[in-house]
Amino acid sequence: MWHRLYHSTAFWLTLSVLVCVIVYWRWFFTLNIFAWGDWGYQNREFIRQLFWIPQAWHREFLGMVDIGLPQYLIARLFYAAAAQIVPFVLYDRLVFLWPCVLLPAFSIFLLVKKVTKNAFSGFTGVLVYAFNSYILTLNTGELTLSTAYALGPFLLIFFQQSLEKLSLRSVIYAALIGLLVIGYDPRGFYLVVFILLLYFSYFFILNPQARVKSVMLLGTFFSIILLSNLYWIIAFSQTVSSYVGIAINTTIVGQYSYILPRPLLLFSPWWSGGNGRDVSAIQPIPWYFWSIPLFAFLGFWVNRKRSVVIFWAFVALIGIFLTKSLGEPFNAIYPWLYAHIPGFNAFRDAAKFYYLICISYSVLIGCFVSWLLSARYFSTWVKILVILIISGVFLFNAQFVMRGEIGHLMTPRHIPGDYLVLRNYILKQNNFMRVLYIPEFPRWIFRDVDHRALGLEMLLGSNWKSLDDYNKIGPDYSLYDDLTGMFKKQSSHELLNAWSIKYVVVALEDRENEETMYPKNVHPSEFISFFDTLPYLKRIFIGTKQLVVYENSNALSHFSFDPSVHYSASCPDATTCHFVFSTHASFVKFSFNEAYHPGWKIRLGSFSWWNSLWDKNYFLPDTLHTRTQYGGNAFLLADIRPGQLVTLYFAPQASVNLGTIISSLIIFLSLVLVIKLTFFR
Amino acid sequence: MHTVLTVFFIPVLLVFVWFTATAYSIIQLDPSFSILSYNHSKKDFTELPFRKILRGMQVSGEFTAEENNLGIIAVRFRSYQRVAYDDEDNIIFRLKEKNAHDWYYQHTYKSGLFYLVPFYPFGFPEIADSKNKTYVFDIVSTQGNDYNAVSIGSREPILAAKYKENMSKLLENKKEMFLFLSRKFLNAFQLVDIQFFSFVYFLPLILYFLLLFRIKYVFLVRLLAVFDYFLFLLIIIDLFYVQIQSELFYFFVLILLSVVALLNKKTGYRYLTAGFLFLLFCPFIALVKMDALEEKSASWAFLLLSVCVFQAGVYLQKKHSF
Repeated sequence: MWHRLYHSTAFWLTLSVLVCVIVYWRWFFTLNIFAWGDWGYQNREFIRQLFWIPQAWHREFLGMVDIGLPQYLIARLFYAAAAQIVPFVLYDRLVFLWPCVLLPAFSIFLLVKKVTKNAFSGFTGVLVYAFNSYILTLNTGELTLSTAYALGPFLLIFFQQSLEKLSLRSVIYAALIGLLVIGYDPRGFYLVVFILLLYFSYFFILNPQARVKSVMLLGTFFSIILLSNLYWIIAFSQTVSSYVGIAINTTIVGQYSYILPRPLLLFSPWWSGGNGRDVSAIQPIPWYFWSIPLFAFLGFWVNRKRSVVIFWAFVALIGIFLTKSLGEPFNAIYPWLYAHIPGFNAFRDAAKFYYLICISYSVLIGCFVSWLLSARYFSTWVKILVILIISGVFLFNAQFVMRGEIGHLMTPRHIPGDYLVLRNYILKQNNFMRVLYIPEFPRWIFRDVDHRALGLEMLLGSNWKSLDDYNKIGPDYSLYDDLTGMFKKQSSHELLNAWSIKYVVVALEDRENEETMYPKNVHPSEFISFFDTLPYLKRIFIGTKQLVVYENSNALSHFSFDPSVHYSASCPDATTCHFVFSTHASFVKFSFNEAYHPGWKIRLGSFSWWNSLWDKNYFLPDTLHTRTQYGGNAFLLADIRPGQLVTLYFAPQASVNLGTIISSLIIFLSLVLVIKLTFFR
Repeated sequence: MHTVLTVFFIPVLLVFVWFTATAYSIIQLDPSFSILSYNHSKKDFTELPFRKILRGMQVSGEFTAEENNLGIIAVRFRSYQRVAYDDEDNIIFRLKEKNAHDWYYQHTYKSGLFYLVPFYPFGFPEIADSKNKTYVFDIVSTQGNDYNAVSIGSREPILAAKYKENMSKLLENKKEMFLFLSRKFLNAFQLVDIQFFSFVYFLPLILYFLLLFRIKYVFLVRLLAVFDYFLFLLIIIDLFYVQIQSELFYFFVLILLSVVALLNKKTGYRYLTAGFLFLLFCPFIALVKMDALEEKSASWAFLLLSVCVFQAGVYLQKKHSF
């Protein structure tokens, strides 16, 4: 029976899944809310509204070009679709928490088994991948990247298959999986494609007779990827100036955090075991990590006559070399790559390259285990001991997660009652408004597209020219002065009105949920005392116990007209608003308080996004569009007649629509083709 | 033609490589072209603690200038670990002529600089008439503690005085320039670092001759068979003695290791073992908190494992197709 179990793929695959589920049992067997750091609580009211076609404009904060558009498939469509049916505790699990745990159990297992032809080695590979320090720290907050990485091996398996068998079906499968990888995190896709291209080069060199066809398959893969992502590629190309300084930063971070030997040991410098990710200082290396590269490179050595094992050893070395960033040896190469290779500056944090080490070590250690099991000159007990040591290293890491000692995303959170009271108060109001949180918006914000949330620190930190920055005198200034300075100006009230900020909320110091918003020596009561003195803010009592809310009764609506006119408005989505006027106006100044962007246009008369693509004079001249004093949009309209349709439109959306049509068509055709090739040969 | 190539052109090319690499290392260690450097020994120090320089402690020295235009005093330090910028020690360096009342120059330096450049050059305004005059200097720690303190390195030279030549005068006179360059090149060999690196850069030529004449002389075959052990010895010297970050040194040794790996299949085993040994040496170094040495040892482990993988790939490609 043991012999049958040992050779049973289903048994070891099931065990892989079981181990992962047991380690992350809190995510599977409880319905608690888990939120930490960048992985926040996403209220259902807002997420449900994202269930629409891709939008170039994102209705959050002051409004912005949607830089998350590449992740539309997952973070907008699937996530919002799930939110239509189930609450947060389930849609967050269905789309992110469960996949990032379960997918590696399948993908790494299949990848390692493909190389070793041994199911037990596949199981060992899963332990190495899922429970190494990098992936464990990733799962404390970067779940999009973690899930993208977890899908990567599927993509690689299908791509390898497509080259080995010259199979069109496999390359389409690979491309469709690539779509999902991008949907989770484009950065993950870059790295998976990096391995894919390395594998392609390796195949190309060793297999001269299939070079032409393999190039065609590679071309097919990238064509499908390119065309099926056209909707956001077009959007980005049209709004590229919005991303300068956001997407591409100039400095390499964590320069000496990842120096050798840390990447060689697959040790994330922030891994502190029971304390999870501790970014305050680089952590010492636990002694058992030194065994990891020994087993990995022994796995290479004992299988060095197999080209695919040499390939994965090579991937490991590249991963180690790139992860070490500015450390020795050859520390000038990373900055050169960063400055000269297109796209490389997306990796200002070299930690992303740990992925190459994770996946290759899984394969190499799996290969070592496979060799060990078939080696004749070791006794069974020696083999068991070595395998226990290997498994023990990674399971020891995992036990911190299982026992909850890692904290962060393993600790259940509870929404403070005051935020629920605030939610009910805000969301039941029909008019458009923004709520400003001091000092920053907390984890528990309840917003939707008509009831936006803003954080003051975020506002001050952004390049918002309408704000007069507090003049810091030297390095010693208080956060309190920094944040309240904005409210001490003569124009402060006008600013709040212009941005429709109807409520100012002093956030809770939520220590129970480990949300420390206020730095040392600063207390919410200081802000409350300050705001109590402002004549234009009135403290209101809405039933909250500790949360303090102030109302600004003069906040303007989303649109304003000067002089005032009668109109009706409908905004079917983030990029389009139609107005019908019931009175005549010779000249009207129309203000629209979304963040200024030249892409906003006005069309007088009937509107068709298709026509706007081809007619250069479709909209009113750009000279009539100006930036308001406080950073919003203003248009000068002339000769407005009763019954006339006026459309406010974010012009790049037309290209996004075209791209969406093409992308949808390509995805549809790919699915049809792959189904036909799979079931109807 | 083949004989001319193998006996003349290739050796000349390798000599040129040696010369260029040595000159590059000289420039890297002492980037100022017009600077002449003279080493001094330990006896030029009046106060020389080799232990960590803690707050309030000082290192003092005295020397007689050998040229005019004294502009730099270089002192060799030993750093123990890389600390955050805000935690670094602030070291005061000051210089004056002996018996002078006031210090001619005084400045504060962050101790993190010595991690990157152990033989640190303290620059100051040139003293035009410095020849044959005696100068004293102090190095004082203001915030040294057990965590961030540095000490004076024990490897010679620990002290050097550097003088700036008049470039316009040299440019006008070709003979003067040639003599200066020769003096500078030979002067650089006072440094053990240059002697060591130059020797390593010469090794490709030695290896080439071993390969060329191994058919004639059997003992050369034996030398070739153990050449990798010799390279391991050089790596150990770099780790424990030289301790300078030199990309060229890494590059040359990597090339030599790769060439030897292609010539001798058995070296793969040795590289793997050596790589593991250098790797396992790291945790012991970490116990005594010597970050620079730990990083170097891990770097060599990585390079040896890389050559191992490279060798396996090359031999496999020769034998099998995909």
